[in-house]
Amino acid sequence: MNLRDELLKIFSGSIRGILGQTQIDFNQVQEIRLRIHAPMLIIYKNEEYYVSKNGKLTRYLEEGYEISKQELRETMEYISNYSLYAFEEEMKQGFITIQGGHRIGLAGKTILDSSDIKSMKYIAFINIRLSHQIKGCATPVLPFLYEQGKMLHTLLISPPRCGKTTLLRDIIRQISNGTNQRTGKTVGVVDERSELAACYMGIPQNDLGIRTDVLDCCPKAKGMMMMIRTMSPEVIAVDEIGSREDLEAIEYVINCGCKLLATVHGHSIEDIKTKPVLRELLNAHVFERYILLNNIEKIGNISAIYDSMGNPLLQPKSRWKHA
Amino acid sequence: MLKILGAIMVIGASSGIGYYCSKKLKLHLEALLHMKKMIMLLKGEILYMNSTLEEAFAAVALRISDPMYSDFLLDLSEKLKERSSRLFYDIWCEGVEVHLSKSDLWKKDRLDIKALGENLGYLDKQMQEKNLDLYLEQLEEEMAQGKEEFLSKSKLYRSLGIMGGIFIAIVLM
Repeated sequence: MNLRDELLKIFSGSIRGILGQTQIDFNQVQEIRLRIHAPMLIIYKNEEYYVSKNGKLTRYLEEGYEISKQELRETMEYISNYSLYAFEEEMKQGFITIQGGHRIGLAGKTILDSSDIKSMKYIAFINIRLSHQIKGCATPVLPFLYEQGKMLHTLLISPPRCGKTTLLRDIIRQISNGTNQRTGKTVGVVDERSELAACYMGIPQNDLGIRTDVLDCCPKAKGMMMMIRTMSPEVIAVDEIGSREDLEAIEYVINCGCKLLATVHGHSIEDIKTKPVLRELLNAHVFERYILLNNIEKIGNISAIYDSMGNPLLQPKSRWKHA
Repeated sequence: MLKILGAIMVIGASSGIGYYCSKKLKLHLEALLHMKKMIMLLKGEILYMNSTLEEAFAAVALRISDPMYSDFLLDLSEKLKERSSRLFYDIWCEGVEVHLSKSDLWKKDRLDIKALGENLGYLDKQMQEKNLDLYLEQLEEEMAQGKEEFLSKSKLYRSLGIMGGIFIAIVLM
């Protein structure tokens, strides 16, 4: 099933009809936003458009198709595949990952259990972020991740919607498969949000390479330790680190001789240094490579690569200083 | 000679009807037992494996030996996968009619199964558990009644069949 058909299935009948009429390339769609009593929005090729009722992308607000409460409710039914109960844990974090690894962000009224979020009701805002697998996108950065044939601890830094998960996915695939110059390595992926492998009934829907084991829907910190104990990986890959538990697990990974491949939200090294946990990692020179991404020219644009001491290996030339 | 042959045939047919009625009660009990097993497996898939209904139906279908019930679940799973812009309850009821109307379940049993579909998938896991438990309780009561009915009536049907046959044969002779 192609991306278009896979995606259209999650919308209510009427929205499905509208999006089905569009002549756009769904591989270029980044986001689709639905809000009750607001026009349907689509982020296509880095630009925001309204979607009209005959499926055309337009810049005019008055032409945008307004989403009704019923349509949003029906869409939620299909997103959860009639089983909202199965997404209780994810709902607490405000998103659901569906088949294909697409992330559905949700907002509405939260239900609290003492001070913890128990669930969410009156969901009125949905943001569908499409996952794309771009094979080969990691090829330019791959030579920087090795030194004398050995893989290096690497951190990918980028703001949201700049393609860090897509890049991480392809790095995993290429490290796992290996090339004529580099032997393939066993990679353990802890896929807390099911975005990297996009497992469906346990089977990865994205290609993560032939030597990759995936721990799906598992909390990162626990998953990293579990992976080392059970699957003896040479490389551990995780998406979006940042908590105190992650830090402990990272130390465990490094002490076990595994190489770490991780991503984090951030605009620059300076930005990362403002976050307590990550500052500790930076000061301890845990990571040997830092890859910075932005979306200035295109999504996934590599703006800089630094070594553990902050020396630029790729533009810009300025060296960042340790605190 | 012809009369004796006719009498034997009448007694045989009447006994057959008696046995058939008795067998129907037994098959009904077995059908209820199948349902119980299916719901318990579904409960396990939903509560402990955290499966969606589509996944749970597909997984349970593989564990059920009776093709009628496994086809029912597989068909439901396929329909849910399609997300054909219909309510879950409608898909569920259609499945019950298409697949289970040929089973040994009675009309009342099928109505109970349809009612179970009203709240499947609604709210949280606790709600699923309560909904399934409520149906299992109903099923237990049905089975208890069915057992009682089987014990009291199956012998009666068989005896009536034989005795009725003999009576008709005597009258006709």
